[in-house]
Amino acid sequence: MKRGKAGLRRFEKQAALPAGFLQPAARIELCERQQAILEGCSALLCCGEEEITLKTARGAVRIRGAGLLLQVLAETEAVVTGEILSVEFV
Amino acid sequence: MPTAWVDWAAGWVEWQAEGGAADRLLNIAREQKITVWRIRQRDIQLHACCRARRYGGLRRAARRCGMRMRVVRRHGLPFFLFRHRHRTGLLAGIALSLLLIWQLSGRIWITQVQGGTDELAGQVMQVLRPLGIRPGAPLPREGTEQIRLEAMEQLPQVSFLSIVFSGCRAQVIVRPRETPPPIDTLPVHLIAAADGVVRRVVVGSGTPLVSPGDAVRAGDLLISGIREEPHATRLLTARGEVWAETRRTYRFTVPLRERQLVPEGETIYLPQLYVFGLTIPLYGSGALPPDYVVDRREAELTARGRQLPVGIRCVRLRQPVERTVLRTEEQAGQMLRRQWSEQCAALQREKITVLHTRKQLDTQEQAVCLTVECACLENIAAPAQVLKNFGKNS
Repeated sequence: MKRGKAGLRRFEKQAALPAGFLQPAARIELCERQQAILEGCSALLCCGEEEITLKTARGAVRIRGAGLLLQVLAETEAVVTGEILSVEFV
Repeated sequence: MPTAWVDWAAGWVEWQAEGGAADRLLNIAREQKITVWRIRQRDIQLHACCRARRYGGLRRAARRCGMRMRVVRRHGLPFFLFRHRHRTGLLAGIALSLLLIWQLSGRIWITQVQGGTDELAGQVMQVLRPLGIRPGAPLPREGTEQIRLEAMEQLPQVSFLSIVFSGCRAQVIVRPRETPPPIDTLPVHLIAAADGVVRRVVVGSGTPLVSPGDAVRAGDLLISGIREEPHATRLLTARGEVWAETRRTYRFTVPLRERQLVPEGETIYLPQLYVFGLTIPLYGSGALPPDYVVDRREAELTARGRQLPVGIRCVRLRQPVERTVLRTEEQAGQMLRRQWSEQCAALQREKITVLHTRKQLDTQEQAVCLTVECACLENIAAPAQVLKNFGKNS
């Protein structure tokens, strides 16, 4: 299964297709440091005012900041607002 | 992403959960496709919002996670209606207004005629009213082409008619038919209509008999309708312009003391309410005094500059009272100047140019007079028949 996913990823790269064209991938959109829109997240791992962690298909995304608020949590989407300091894959 | 209006219409709740695993609760909500927003976790408390309908499902999930939930605040239409369920008047008003909007949005509210005179607009509306273009009538579903053709048939004085709908407003665009000038068949001379000195002659047809610099008297022949040819004499319609410098004298008088009928006496108001073309008089049916001066006032309700189909028209009747008006010489002078400027505007409309003027203001015992002598440039050519019984003899 893992080999199949890796193969698709390799084919995407070789065929110069946009990332996430053949298989689901997380997309993160940042609006300065005030808002982050995450698409393709599958679970909420941690929710606090200084840290919010969301699970995606290829690992977890940790958003650190101050006064963070999970504005929306839908089936595959999440919107985080507040003073965002960093976004990292863990 | 939840939209504010949809959420408001469906109703949403602000809730608070304590103890247990908050992350697990949020993940269960996500799995159950329950959208949760404004999520904030402080210590052991979790604050968030969700649709009112999904709160029950979320509460069951919270119990499984060992959390205790409680509603902090309710928002939206269902809660508003529930809160005001005993105020039947308010609810009936909301229902009535919704019904009115639903009913009236499919009807014509206002009709406006563009182009042409007020008289023509009245004639157009008189024809269109029975065809279904009137305030209160339903909006035509099959288009307006048939109505337009029927109206054009009944209105020979109109060369173009179009009906355009902008929401509930019917705009009728008309162009009056311009009748072509009659074709001249009788032979005509052009004669001088006033005394003057000719400055310019423009001949369309005929034989010019004057040239610039000639002095002419009223009735003199300017352009002849008879043309002498080698073997015959031709009669034709003389056409052209003869511009001459003429002299005109105007005299204006304003009395210093005058008795006038001023509408300052008893006032009677006759208000009328109009709703979708229906006029409802808001006064009794008593006989109206005949000598009163009618002063019509219309208080129309408008929205963004557009007339609404509801308003009040008020006819005001005022009794004339005889009053003696006293004027100072300065006031009389101002009135005279106004009269002269009105006269100038009238001359301009007749295409008469005032070259120079000499004014004289005389103050008499009872009146102030203004005498204006002016030199004007005007077309003095006027048609005159060559033979009076030409049509009958030929």
